[in-house]
Amino acid sequence: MKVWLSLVARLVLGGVMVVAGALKVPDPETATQAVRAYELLPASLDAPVGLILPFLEIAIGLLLIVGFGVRWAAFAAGVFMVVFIAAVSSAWARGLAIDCGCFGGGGQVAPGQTKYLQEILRDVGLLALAGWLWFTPQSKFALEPSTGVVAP
Amino acid sequence: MSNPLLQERRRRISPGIVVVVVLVLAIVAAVGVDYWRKHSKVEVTANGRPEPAVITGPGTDGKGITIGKTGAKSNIDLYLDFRCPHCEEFETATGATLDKLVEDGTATITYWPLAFVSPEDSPRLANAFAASAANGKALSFVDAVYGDFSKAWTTDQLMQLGTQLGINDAKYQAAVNGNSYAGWLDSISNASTDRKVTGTPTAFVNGKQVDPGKMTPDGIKAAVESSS
Repeated sequence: MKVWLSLVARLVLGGVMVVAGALKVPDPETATQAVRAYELLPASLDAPVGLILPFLEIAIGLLLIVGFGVRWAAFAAGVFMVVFIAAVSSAWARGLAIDCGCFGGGGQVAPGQTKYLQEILRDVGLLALAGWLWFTPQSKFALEPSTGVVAP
Repeated sequence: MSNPLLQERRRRISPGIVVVVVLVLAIVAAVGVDYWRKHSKVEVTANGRPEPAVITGPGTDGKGITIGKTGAKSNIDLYLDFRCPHCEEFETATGATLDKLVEDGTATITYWPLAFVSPEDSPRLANAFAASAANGKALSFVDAVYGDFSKAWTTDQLMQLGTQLGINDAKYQAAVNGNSYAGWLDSISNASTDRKVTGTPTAFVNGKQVDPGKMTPDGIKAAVESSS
């Protein structure tokens, strides 16, 4: 049973990561502005982060989907989620009115149009999937060299 | 099982190596995209619409760049930043409507190029816009830059754009390279602050601000109709 749950966790978490990254790749300028809107990083880092983050998301997502190094890919995805949750919470706490830019877009929105709670809840859910995979990395249909176990 | 080569291939790949490989691939991909957006060719596709006349060029302190036909009943003030994604969305959705209002003489547009989204690139592009408008090409510049938003629009690419628009003369080059309009852009920024413009895109029609929720083709048309 657990191998099936882990398969679902892999596909959902990996799928979300790949989609989120792929939507940002064609538009690094918008991704950069989305990072900048958080007002957390020095200005010189906004562009590099906006540029590389989407590719890391895609890479981690693909590893999860094919089931390669699941434990560590899930760990990395979990770190991303923690960072995202912290960044969105901090934007909320500082009274910024921004879109998280999680799936492309981002930047300032009208004060009444923020969706911080939904964004955080979604990331908490994804973080839970990452946690599950950290503890239960074996799953169906995985190329899993890191555990040395291929599910039957 | 006795084949040593097979055994070699079955060795476990350590997570550390996977992480390093993934990181390197991501960095290579990111560097590639960055190179592409800084070096891709500028291609202006003539959209067939005539270039509206520049009524007020850049350089007058506290006055934006106005284009269109003199005598139009309505004036649309547009506060834009050339690196603001929402401005790009607005231009993509509403640009054709604006062009039409200008072309049929219903409205003039006054551009207020602001520079607060990207500390490096916004001022550079605002300055190039002014240089372009000074040579009679305001609208084409707006179309081109928003039309290829993911391009980095380096100074080289701005020069290519100037060539394609037929305005890449010594004056344009000097203005783009020398950031000639920086002082004027400061005055535009101050005028916007005085008007309490806090974000881009922002529009006013005959002095009345368009509700941010109505920054759509229909919203702009309705605002222009009720103003005249």
